[in-house]
Amino acid sequence: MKRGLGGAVIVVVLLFATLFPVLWTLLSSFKTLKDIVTPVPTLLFQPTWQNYADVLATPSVQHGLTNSAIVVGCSLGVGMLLGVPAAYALVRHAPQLKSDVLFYVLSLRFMPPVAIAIPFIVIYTDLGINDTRFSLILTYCLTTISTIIWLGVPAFEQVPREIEEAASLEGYTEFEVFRKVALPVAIPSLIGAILFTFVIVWNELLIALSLTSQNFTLPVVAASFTTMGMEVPWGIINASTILLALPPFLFIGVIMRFLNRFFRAAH
Amino acid sequence: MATIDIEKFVKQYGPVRALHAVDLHIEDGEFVVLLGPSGCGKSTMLRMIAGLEEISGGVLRINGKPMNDVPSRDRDIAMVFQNYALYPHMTAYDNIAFGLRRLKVAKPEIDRRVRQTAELLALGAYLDRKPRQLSGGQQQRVAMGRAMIKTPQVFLFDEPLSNLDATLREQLRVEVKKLHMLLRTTTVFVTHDQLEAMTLADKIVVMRDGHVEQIGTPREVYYAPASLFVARFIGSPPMNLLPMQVAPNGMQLAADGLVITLDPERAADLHPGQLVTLGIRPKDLRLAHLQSGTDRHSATVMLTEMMGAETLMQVRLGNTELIMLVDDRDTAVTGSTIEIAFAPEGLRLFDAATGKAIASRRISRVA
Ligand SMILES: Nc1ncnc2c1ncn2[C@@H]1O[C@H](COP(=O)(O)OP(=O)(O)OP(=O)(O)O)[C@@H](O)[C@H]1O
Ligand SMILES: [Mg+2]
Repeated sequence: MKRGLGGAVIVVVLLFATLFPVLWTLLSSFKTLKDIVTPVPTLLFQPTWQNYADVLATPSVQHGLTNSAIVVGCSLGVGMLLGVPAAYALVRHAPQLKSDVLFYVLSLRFMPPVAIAIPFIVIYTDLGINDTRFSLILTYCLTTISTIIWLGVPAFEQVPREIEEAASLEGYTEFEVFRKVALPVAIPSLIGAILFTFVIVWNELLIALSLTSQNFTLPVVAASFTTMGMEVPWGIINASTILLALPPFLFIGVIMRFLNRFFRAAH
Repeated sequence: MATIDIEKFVKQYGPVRALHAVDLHIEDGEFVVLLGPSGCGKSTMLRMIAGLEEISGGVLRINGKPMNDVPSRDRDIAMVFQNYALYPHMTAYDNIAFGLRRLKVAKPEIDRRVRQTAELLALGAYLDRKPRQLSGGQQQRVAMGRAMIKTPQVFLFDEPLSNLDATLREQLRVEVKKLHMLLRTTTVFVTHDQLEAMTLADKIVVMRDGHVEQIGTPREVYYAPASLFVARFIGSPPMNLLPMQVAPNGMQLAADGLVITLDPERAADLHPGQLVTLGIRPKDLRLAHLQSGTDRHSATVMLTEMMGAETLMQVRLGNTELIMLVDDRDTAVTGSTIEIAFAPEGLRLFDAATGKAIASRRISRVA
């Protein structure tokens, strides 16, 4: 009993430490600048939507949001389309290549983003596609494909080989075995992989900063707020932080529902 | 309906050779049991037949057609896996129906057959559960159902009854037998339970370390084991095995104090001084007054175990302990001295050096 209590206390303390900054940000996003900057923090205040209205009314935010949605959506889609089958193929058909490929894929992420960005700028400029959504999508695909492969391999390794063998003995083709057996069994782990990848590209700042000046993404816009004028617009920063953090949560719900429906229909 | 021909099967796992040039012919409709201790290559052989394991050497023919390069989905084989291999994301019902759906069987027909199979396997109440909500035995029965619902050319079973309690096991063994008598589908069944092998098999293949030790009917492997290994492996209680030497006259076997006279025909295969192992089934050690015309030996009863209609007696003869199985009415009290005799038709001889049976051909004719 005592032990359980001790555990609970630790959990509460940890949760508080983790969530407090988030809660504080959320709270502050509804405060007026006056309420935010008072030396004694207030818990009771007149909530306002003004910060959100200001943020959303900013043309650069609207532009960044659209760009982010398109760029992240496309690169994540391509990453899933290519990365998931690639991970499966590695596990089942080229296990001898697995460790080399995984290391290669991981090594793509060792490099500082700027080191990747500079050669890309040169290439994209030559091709005439520098500072477009397309070039950003192309660059992010590197991240999404490699991350999904990297996390997809363990997901498919958890699928017992025998159940795939059983399905192939029942006459199913390799693709059907993949779609009806391997994929549904691996999906809980794959969802984690996809979410993780989404968060990485959604929050990506450095490459976007280097590759774009017109077609910037939301993190670039958010970063620019901190240098807007003399008076730091805390309320707007807080509101934009919350807005930036919201999509990953929404995304979890949407993707779960979609995948559930997809696989319920599959058999 | 299918014949299976296995020619010089070799399986190589890197440096490890799991099968050494195994030959086996299986008749159409035959029920063949692969029997052997753990690690002898039974599952490997089954998986090669199913096309799940590459054939490193040799040829597999089904109905005379080479199958080495045919993928498993085109071999028309149903298999029960040693570890069940149920689809974890499907209910028991869907697990059983999955194969039929592929064959585009009509829905009501699938439903009828699934329920019929579930009935047979006493699974009716569990059809809506996912595999992880089922006990080991229930999972095993779902795996059986998944195979049994189809009418393939060949059934492969990899120890399908190993996880069941005694009653269920016996019940399902009978069901497997009935199913086979009904459908006459060529079947290869792996087990390390010799009773299962004896009761089910038309033909038993005894395996050891990737080699075939003996192929024969249950009677042949029981009465005429081809080697000491088979003799030890088959039979419960096990065969008595006594190291002996052929006497100078060539007509008798001797081991400290114990002398056994052989009939001339048997003795012709031996030479004086040869070291042999004498094998005799517990049932062929008789009380002397029930066996006329052979040498009698005095033995002391060490232990008796009532096993129902029969009693197992452990007796000491000179320096050797022997097990005999007698009618319960003939049981002697522990500590008493009895006269026993070796039934001549039950004597089996093995070369002590090679472990191979001597003159097993002649004996198998007797059996
Ligand atoms: N993938 C593998 N790599 C290396 N060796 C293997 C592999 N699979 C099996 N073996 C070896 O091959 C031999 C035969 O294995 P197999 O699984 O066929 O045995 P078994 O007779 O089915 O045993 P059990 O009764 O325990 O199931 C064993 O010695 C095993 O260690
Ligand atoms: Mg096995």
